[in-house]
Amino acid sequence: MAKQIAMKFGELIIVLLVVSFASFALLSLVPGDPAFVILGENATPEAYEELREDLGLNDSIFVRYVGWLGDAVQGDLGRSYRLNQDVSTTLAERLPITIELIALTLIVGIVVSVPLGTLSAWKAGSRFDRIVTTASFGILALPSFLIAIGLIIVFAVKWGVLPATPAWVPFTEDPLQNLKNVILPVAATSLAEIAVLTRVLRSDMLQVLQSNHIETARAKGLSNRRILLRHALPQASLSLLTLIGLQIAGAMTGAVVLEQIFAIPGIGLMLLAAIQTRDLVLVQGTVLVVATAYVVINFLIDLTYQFADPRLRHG
Amino acid sequence: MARSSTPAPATESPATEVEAPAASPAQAKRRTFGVLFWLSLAWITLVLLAALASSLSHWFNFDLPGIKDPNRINPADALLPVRHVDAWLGTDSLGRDILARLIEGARISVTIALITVTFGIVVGGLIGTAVGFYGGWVERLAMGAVNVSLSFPGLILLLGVVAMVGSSLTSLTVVLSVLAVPGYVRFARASTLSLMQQDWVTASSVMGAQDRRIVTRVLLPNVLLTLITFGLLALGGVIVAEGTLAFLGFSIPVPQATWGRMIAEGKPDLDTSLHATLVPATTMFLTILSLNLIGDGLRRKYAIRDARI
Repeated sequence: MAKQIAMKFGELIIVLLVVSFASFALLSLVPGDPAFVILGENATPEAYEELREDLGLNDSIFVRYVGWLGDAVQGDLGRSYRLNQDVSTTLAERLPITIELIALTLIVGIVVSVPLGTLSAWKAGSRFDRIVTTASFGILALPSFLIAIGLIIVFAVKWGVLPATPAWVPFTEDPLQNLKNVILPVAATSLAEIAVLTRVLRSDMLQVLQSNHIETARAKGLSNRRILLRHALPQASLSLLTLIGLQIAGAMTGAVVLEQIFAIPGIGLMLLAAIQTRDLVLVQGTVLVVATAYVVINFLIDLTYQFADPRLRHG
Repeated sequence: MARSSTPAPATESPATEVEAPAASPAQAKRRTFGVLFWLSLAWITLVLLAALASSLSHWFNFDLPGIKDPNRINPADALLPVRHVDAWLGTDSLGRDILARLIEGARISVTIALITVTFGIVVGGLIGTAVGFYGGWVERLAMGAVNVSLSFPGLILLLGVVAMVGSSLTSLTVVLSVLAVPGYVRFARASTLSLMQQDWVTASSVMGAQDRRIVTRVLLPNVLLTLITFGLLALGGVIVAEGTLAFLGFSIPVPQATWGRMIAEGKPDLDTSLHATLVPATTMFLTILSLNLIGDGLRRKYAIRDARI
């Protein structure tokens, strides 16, 4: 077990190195001189030389990478020239907003899909099951931005009960207003997630319910409730676990779109603005942070897997 | 056989779809395509025809009969409703004909989706089948690379690349194609591994078939079938990816019509003219739904189970 975790950890380090190098190398994809692109045409030659030195453009890419990575692990992701602010400061301001969206999406997704998936597998073939299966199949064909627009049409335009592009209020200032503002974006992302999670849980559950140990549990005369909750669900939730890792990742990219639609000042909206203003250092830093978070979350999920599935403990 | 077939490790098995057990033999036999399948096929054919017509008119520089110029701005006719005498699907806020723009957008969506998925199936399929068959350190290296690239958030990478190199039909297609490959490698390897456990594949090697023959005649055709059903779902994914980028303002430069951009451009007029958003949104939804239904139908018909990855 310890050996496996050590190996996974080694893998994590390698993946992180590759990911960080990819984020770093993004800047070298820019046609022409990044310093020139960042400063624009009206910069003085001194400022230009200074930035070249600062970005280390006079060194080889590997020297630059090592220097950049050294700074990055100490929390120095460079400076955004447009915002005149350290990239890490900007990220620290925006991250909590995006994390709130992702966390709420996940919670709503799990709370809704676990009972839906379990029940529709238990009553496979029933009308309830058919409705759930058809609905989730349909939702799968809807990208989150379409769901968001549909929700805006119904709740903001037709009924006018919820704001379409609310002025952002931090949770710490006015929790109620904050929650009201995030209802639509969270509903938009979690609907898609509910569709995926429900389908997967249902098909896993179907498989588990056919297995011998469930048969045994039935023969012992256990109640349906106990069979479902204690014997079937834990086993069926294994792949749910992997999927939740992927969903967090999906929610991250989904956040970019949702924040743009609902004008939520999180990390996604900031990334889009940074791309539009060619704030390359900020783009690079954001990509690094998001990608690292993504990889680490998947690593943690993978570890949980090892603990949750006894079969994997002695592989 | 180049390697002994071992079951794929369970650690790497994310969720796979399992069909409900057939309640009766009659149900198991009933594996025909339903009405929905044929409707979906008809819709996809329509989209393909629109894309083809639009491509031809684009390449050979002629106007499609009865279709207006998708980029002609005409403020006098802005936001005409659906089923207007002058514009069958209405016009957008700049007075451009929505039907003409949908057809033009179909060209972009279909081009990107077809090239990306074909590239993924061919390159990913070959690599995946080969490493699955031969195994060894090449396989470990390839799968390591696949895992690394799959652990990178796609849209973020896409945005990053677009930020750096700018956006065009070519750059989008190239980036999406490259991003697609790892998924197919993983998929092709998994289905190769599960094929190699089957008796008839073992039989062909016992009968003395050469490695090359096993790969090209036995494994590839079967892997291909699985990859194509996967590809059908992926087509929808590519259309969504382009739509998302367009929605965010990073797709092909204006005024090129794409479905995603049309949806985004209609958004400010949601309260007065729903159709400017709803028409392209419905088109995109129906296309993705149809692709999913066709993929699902094929999987059921040929009893393709997603291989345990």
